[in-house]
Amino acid sequence: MTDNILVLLDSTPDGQLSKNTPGLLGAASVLGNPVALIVGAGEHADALAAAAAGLGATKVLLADGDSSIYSTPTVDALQAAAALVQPAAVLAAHSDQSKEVVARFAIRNGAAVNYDAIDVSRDAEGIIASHSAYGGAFVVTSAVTFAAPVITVRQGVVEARGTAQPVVAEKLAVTASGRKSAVIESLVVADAPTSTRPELRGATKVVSGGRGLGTAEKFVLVEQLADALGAAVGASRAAVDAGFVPQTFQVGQTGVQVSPQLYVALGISGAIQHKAGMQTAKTIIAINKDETAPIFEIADFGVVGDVFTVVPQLIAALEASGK
Amino acid sequence: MIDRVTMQLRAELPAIVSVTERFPDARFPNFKGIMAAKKKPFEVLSVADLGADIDVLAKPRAIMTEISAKPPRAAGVKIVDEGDAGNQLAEFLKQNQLV
Repeated sequence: MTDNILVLLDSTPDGQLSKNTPGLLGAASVLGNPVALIVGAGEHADALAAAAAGLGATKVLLADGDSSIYSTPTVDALQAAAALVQPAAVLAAHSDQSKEVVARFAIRNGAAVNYDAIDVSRDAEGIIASHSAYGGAFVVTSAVTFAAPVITVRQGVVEARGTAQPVVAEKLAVTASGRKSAVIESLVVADAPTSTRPELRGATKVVSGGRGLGTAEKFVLVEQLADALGAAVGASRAAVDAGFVPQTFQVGQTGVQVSPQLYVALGISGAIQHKAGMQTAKTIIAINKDETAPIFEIADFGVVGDVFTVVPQLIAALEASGK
Repeated sequence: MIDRVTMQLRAELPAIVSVTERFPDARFPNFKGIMAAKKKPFEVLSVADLGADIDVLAKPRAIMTEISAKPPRAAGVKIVDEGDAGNQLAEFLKQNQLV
């Protein structure tokens, strides 16, 4: 397996590789020889190249780009990188930015895209991608009819990891295409989360709250149980719409999709769009007053009761046994 | 978007803008609008008119190779709280090595 797999890495404005990088390079090392592309890292370039090599990149291409232009410099760099390494596949994160970049890359090159893969592998005929369909009820595998596929990989689901490689970094010469582009007017970086809780995406345990919590103040119960379990905090769309927590907490079809070992749903009825974001969890626990709530249909352990009496007792029991 | 970043973008028109379901509510047509819409001409275009390339062999396509249903999740234990549900739940978590 000496095929080059070109991997577009996302980096954060404060000069870190995105959290999806280990999975992305892990997926690439399953398929072949991961060659990473990092665009616009500026002064952080060397550190990022070393980090990428540590995660399995056999070679790191570094490209500069006009940072005031949205996505086009990255598309140009990806095109130059593909011309150089002749990859058997192009992998990128299923993130908002990378989705746009690979879509434009695919159009320019007449390439086919396998979107939102949860896994990649090879069969006798080449590279295949697996996808979760209909809210996780089906698994679909896809391939391309010919040429190198462009694959976006869902964040936080790939378990494969690459092995550390010696750092081989190379500057990539890119000619700006000058195509029509959106221009970045302003860029605001939110403060780093001060919470010590794990991040929702990719967490092994998640505690989510729904409308049943009643108010934003009472939502703190979800956080207390999350802390007792060492879990990330999530929410249903109803809780987000009611203003209990910001939209970034939303678990569901249009929010974050999680597959933790343990998912605890507090005061969540289990609407289909919520289930789509969490029903691949290994163990599901639900506490809800309404015994007919659909969440109980998929719960491994369901409690019909008041979250405000059951959860404090659960926390106390967990703390007692932890001592 | 990149983690924790909010950007404001400007683009020349025509531009393609995708929105999320949290975009402000859509405008719904009123009766006058519906009546006016009925008078609008329809223009029917063929694929050739659009100059689209539909030769399936000319360009690579993504194809589905397999589809399988995941076994449906069966409901597990369901209890009604009689004052000790929290303790039972803690016990369940311990037995399944989830704490």
